[in-house]
Amino acid sequence: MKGVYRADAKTHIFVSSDIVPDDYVLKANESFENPTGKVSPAKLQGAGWVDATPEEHEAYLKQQEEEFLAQHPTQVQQPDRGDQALNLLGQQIAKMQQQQTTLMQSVNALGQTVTKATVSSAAQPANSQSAAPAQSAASAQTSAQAQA
Amino acid sequence: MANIQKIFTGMSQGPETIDNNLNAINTELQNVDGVVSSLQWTDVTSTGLVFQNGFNQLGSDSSHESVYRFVQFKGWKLVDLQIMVTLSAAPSNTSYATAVSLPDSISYDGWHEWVENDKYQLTINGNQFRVSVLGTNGWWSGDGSHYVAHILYAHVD
Repeated sequence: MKGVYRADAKTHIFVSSDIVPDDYVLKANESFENPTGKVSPAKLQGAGWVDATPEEHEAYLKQQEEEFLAQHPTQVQQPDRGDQALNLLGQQIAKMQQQQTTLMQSVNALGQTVTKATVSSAAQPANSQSAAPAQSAASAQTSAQAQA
Repeated sequence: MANIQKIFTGMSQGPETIDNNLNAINTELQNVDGVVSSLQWTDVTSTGLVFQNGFNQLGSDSSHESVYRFVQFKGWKLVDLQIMVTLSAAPSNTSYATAVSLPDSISYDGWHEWVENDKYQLTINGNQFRVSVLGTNGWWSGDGSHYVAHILYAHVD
């Protein structure tokens, strides 16, 4: 017994294999060469198989996957529970960061308001209290000179 | 099938007919026993298996490679298929790929699938043995990767 490997008559793409007697005579679109190792879908050229092009390979995989997913709609990729929990945690962290940013902006705004209030309230008392002793000293000195 | 004569009340040579029936049944059972005892598994082989999309034989001995054998009955086969493959490089942009193509003479008449390690779904359908990645798991490829299945099934010729 030996293997025979068959290609589609129109596309020459590998479609199936079979086991046949040792004296089997090849028919059209058949080969005794095994296309294992060739880039799928392998194409029959003469007695041997050749690699598919990268584009043909991509299209072949995509077609197979689409066929499978059409038969298995539940197999459409869904994040598992761990990923879902991680996503939820990420969303919560993003929300907390946003809240923190808002809070920081509020604190900054409040700080500026307090600073302004401190500066404006400190401006007048500072003039009268710091200038008064000098004026008093000057007055006292003047008074002493006058007395002298 | 044994040729059994009908027994009825008042028939002539009833005991002889019953005896002939029993002899016919014994002969049939001996024939069946002869057929059963002559049934044998074929040699284990990988002839006709085609590995695709980066999948290859896991090893080079029969306990680590994809092989099959069968017992031939009249019109059907009992197939013992062992799939042991490794994936050299992950197929790109897909979560589903044919790993092995089976010879038509031992194809699976129907569809059967099962899950390995909660990560991969293995499917046998017709002459295709396929692997699909479940959820967000990636392909297991490179050294040490292996996808394994061992199934016994009937193939109708």
